[in-house]
Formats: sequence, structure tokens, C-alpha cells
Amino acid sequence: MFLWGIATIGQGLVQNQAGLIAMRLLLGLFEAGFFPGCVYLISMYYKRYELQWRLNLFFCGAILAGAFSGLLAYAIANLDGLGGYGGWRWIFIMFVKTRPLRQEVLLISSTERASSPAASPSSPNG
Amino acid sequence: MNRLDGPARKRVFGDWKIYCGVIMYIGIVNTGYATSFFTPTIIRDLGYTAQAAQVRSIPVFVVATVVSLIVAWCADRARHRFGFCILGICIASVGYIILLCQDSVTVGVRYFAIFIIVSGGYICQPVTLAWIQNNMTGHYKRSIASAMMVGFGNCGGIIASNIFITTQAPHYTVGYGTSLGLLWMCAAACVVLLLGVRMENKKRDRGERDWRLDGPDADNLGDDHPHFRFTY
Repeated sequence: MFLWGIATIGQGLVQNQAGLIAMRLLLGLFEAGFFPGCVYLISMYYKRYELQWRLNLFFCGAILAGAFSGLLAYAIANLDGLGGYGGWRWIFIMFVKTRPLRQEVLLISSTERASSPAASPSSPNG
Repeated sequence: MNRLDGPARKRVFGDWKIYCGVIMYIGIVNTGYATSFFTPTIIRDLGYTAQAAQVRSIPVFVVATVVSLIVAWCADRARHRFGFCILGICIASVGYIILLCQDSVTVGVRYFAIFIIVSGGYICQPVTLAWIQNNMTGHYKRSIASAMMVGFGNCGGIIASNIFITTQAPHYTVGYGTSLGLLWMCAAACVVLLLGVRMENKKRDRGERDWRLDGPDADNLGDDHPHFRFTY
């Protein structure tokens, strides 16, 4: 996720189209595992008919991001010209700042793996 | 499926349910991405620009979040998945049909259509994910199923970014038509999964899968275990 952040900042710093495509590819590479990994982790935590509610709580983050990213993008675009960078560059650079928070949440949850109910092999319908 | 060896790999990649899930996800993900292409056009028709237009897109996602949470709670409470997928698809379809006939409705109705398309899409999308995960057991199978479904499924995003042809704005006949078609491709895959797992459950009830317990990998069958029952 750290590399993902770097790739996103890289998108804000590129100077030509080839650079942007390269950064975009790296971003995809580092980002790809995040969502399926979360779905897998959540599904191992909960029982069959507890999963939907928990998964949707996670999923709502993605939906609400749709609501606020537009407005945030507009607000950050007001930085247009600051430090010699265009507004669109600031969008990529600023979006990385929210990421360490998510990273911590994931680190905490990975320590709980041992106590996960679905991880016990004795429940075939878990 | 807590050990990944040759036979287990064959069971994972040979499982039709995962491929069914991929088709379901492609169909429904397309709607998730498509909204970002047509929403600005419709809000511009409402007469807003720039910041005011951005603000108009917020309630759409807030409504979708609330609806999605309500449906998730109901799906767990009803211990059921299939019907909620179809419910979301039907709701989103109404939205697309409104937008396909947009010349005969006011721009306010078109704005309303965005609400029901986004809500319908986000009713169905998490339910398909949970449904497939519910029917997979074992670390490896669940993680591979999740990765394949989200990975290949997100190709729906490639479709979405190519069907909204700028010269067709604001009608986007190809865009709305394809999205509606993909929604029902998702519905068809849901029906296949429903009928398939019901048939499989009945076979297991009759003991027709018990022979698997005599195989060499009987301790690593995952959801192929004859005592496992699928949910739908």
C-alpha cells in the first residue's frame, strides 16, 4: 500500500504521457490486491449469515468515497498553480495523505487472524 | 481447502461457481463505473456547473449507501442472496429504461433515474460478492475466488469507459443499452448459480457425492465436501 501511495504521487509529478501511463500501470499493480484481499479477510471473520452486513459496511466506504471524491477533487483543484503544480497534480498528491489511516486499520486486523471463527476447520458451513 | 496441492488447484480453478461469479460481477460492475460517465451530463442538463454540480452528485451516493445497508441487513436476516441480486438488477433496469426513453421525460426524472441506477447497482454488487464467498470454503479457495471475481470482474470497468460515446451525448443509446444488457447478463448468471447450487445440494442430500470421501484428497475437499450445503 506504501508503493501504491508512491505511484499515486508519481502520477502527480509526471512530465509526459509515457510517464503517466507507466505510473498508472504501477498504481494498478500495487492496488489490485487491496479490494479482493479485504473481501477475503472479512469473509474469513464472520459466519455465513453475518457476512453480508459486515461486507456492506466495508463496501459503503467505496460508495461514500464516490460521494466525496468529486467534491474533494473540486476543492483540491483550487490549489491550481500552487508551488508551480497544476490542480490535477495536487489531486493525486493529496489523495495519498488519507492512506496511512487505512493502512493502520489493516495492520490491526491482521493480528486478529488467530481468533477468526471461520478459520477453524471444524465448521464446514462456516 | 487449507492445503494448495495439485488436486486442490484443479478443484479451485475447475469450479464453475467462480466463473459464474466473474460473469455476475462483470455485469454489475459496469453499472458502478458507468454512472461516473453519464451523471455529469445529466446534472449539466439540470443547469448546474462546476461545484454546484459536484454537490448534486452527493445525495445519489448517500441514498445508495443507506439502501445498500438496509438490503444487507435484510439479506442476512432472510438468510437469502439470489432474490436481493435480482431486486437490485430490476431497480437499476428501471433507471436505464427511463434514460433510454429520456426524450419523453423531464430532466428531473432523469436525475431521479441516476438515484435508482446507483442504488440498484449497489444493492446487487456486494450481495454477489458475499454470495460467492459464502459458497467457498478454505483459505485458498476463498482468496482465489475473491481475486478472480474482482480481478476479471473489473473488466466491466473497461466496457463502461468505452460505451459512453461523446458524440452520442446526452442520449448515449449505446451506453445505456449495453449497461442494461450487462445487468441482465448478471441476472442470467445469478439464475444459473441458483439452479446449479440447488441441484448440487439435492444431489448431496441423496448421497450422490459421498464417493468423494473415499478419494485421496478427502481431507481437503473444501466446498466439494458432500456434507457442505450451498446457500442461495
